[in-house]
Amino acid sequence: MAFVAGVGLTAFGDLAPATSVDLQLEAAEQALADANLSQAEIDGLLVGYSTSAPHLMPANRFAERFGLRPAFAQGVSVGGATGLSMVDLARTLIRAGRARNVLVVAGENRRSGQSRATARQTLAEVGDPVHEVPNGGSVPAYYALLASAYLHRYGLREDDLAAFAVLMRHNASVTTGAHFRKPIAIGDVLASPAVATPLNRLDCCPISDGGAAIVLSADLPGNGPALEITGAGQAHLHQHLSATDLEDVAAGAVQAAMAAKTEAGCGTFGRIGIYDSFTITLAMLLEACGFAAPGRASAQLRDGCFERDGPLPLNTHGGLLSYGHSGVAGGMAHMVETVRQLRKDEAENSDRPRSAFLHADGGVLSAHVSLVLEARR
Amino acid sequence: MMLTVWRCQACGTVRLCGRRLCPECSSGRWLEAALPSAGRVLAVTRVHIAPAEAPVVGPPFTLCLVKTDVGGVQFMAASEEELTIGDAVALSCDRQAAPYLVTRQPARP
Ligand SMILES: [Zn+2]
Repeated sequence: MAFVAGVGLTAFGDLAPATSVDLQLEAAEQALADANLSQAEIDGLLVGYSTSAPHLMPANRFAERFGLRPAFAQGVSVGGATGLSMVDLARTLIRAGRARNVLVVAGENRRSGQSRATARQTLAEVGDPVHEVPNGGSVPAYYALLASAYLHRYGLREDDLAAFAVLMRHNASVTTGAHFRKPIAIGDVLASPAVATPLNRLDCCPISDGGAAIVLSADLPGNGPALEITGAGQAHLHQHLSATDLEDVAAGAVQAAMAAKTEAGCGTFGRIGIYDSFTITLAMLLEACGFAAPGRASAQLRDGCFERDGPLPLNTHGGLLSYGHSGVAGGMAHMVETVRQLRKDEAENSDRPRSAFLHADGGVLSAHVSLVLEARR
Repeated sequence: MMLTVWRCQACGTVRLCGRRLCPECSSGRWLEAALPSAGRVLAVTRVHIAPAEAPVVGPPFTLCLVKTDVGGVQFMAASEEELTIGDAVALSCDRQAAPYLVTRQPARP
């Protein structure tokens, strides 16, 4: 069994002059303190890539700086799915008996450590270098293509997507450390400059600096409820949008979510954390993961389903859209937040089920990881 | 440059990007064929912020996903025109920086 022993999350935003490794160190220190573990007790280490500080051996670079000598170390790279993928791998290492305490860490000065144009150019390489990028492809444009087909298919409008940006900002407005906290309305999203129609600037996550860390342990943690990873699923069906059928583009998310829920034997959740690089990502993943019927995610949002006090609170820290997106750490923040909220539910003896579902995607709905987290008593 | 697709000789699967093994039947025997010119727009965006050099005049310019009428092959293309989903388009010979460039065609039944 693998339990969540500790979590750490830095503020997100413009954190110059912090380097990528500085942000990794800060988050890791928090997570170890939270887990009440010493550096010597960490025998497994997984570190996510940083686009602003690329390195052949990100785990070794981090281990040396932090003062770790793990028996297992690896750098991991599957785009936005990297954070949850590392947690999945950490659990596998623990269950296989290769490690007792695995530190999963990521951090990047993606905003202040490189020009905005360089960041966009790097991310554009998610596209095919022959068949897509030379036509003017970019990550926002690929998701805009998905959004156009989604709105057309279900007869929806831009404001249906904008509602997700408004909810994420509302959540961030009460979260210390979020990159953007000033509340917005649907009109603000629609009035923000067009990036790639139908997506406007406020439909897109910002580029942030930040770090996140999670410690998984074979031992029951002493702090709060024993949160166990009870299910995990992955699917990697394509890399490029051109290489998949548009009708089946979210099939990987369906597969991963189903696998995680089936393994856990759990279909009722008190909280969910879903990757939200763009408003359309959130709408499509909510539906693919089974939390809304096809085309109904925004209608459910309007009914209050995903609000902080609703039946299924979603990304209560503000998600990538408003807490911020610093690469791999951005995708881990959903899990850090979920762990903290589940602990709070336990402390306050709330009626909510002590279970959560997490999902992240990398590329253009290319790499998928789902996790189920449950409190064991 | 002639735009091409790859057809699996074993099961007939057609893909734009070449790959070693067929994802449907694991065959490794592929035949290269010309990409059919005519298709319909499946998805479309007007790009206002381009990552590097724009592929055509702009930004803004149009980026779309097209499915060919023959073979049902999906490809990504740029266009100087404003397109909508369902529009009939054809590959243009007017090669600009974009390797795949489409123009709107008269509506077909
Ligand atoms: Zn085949």
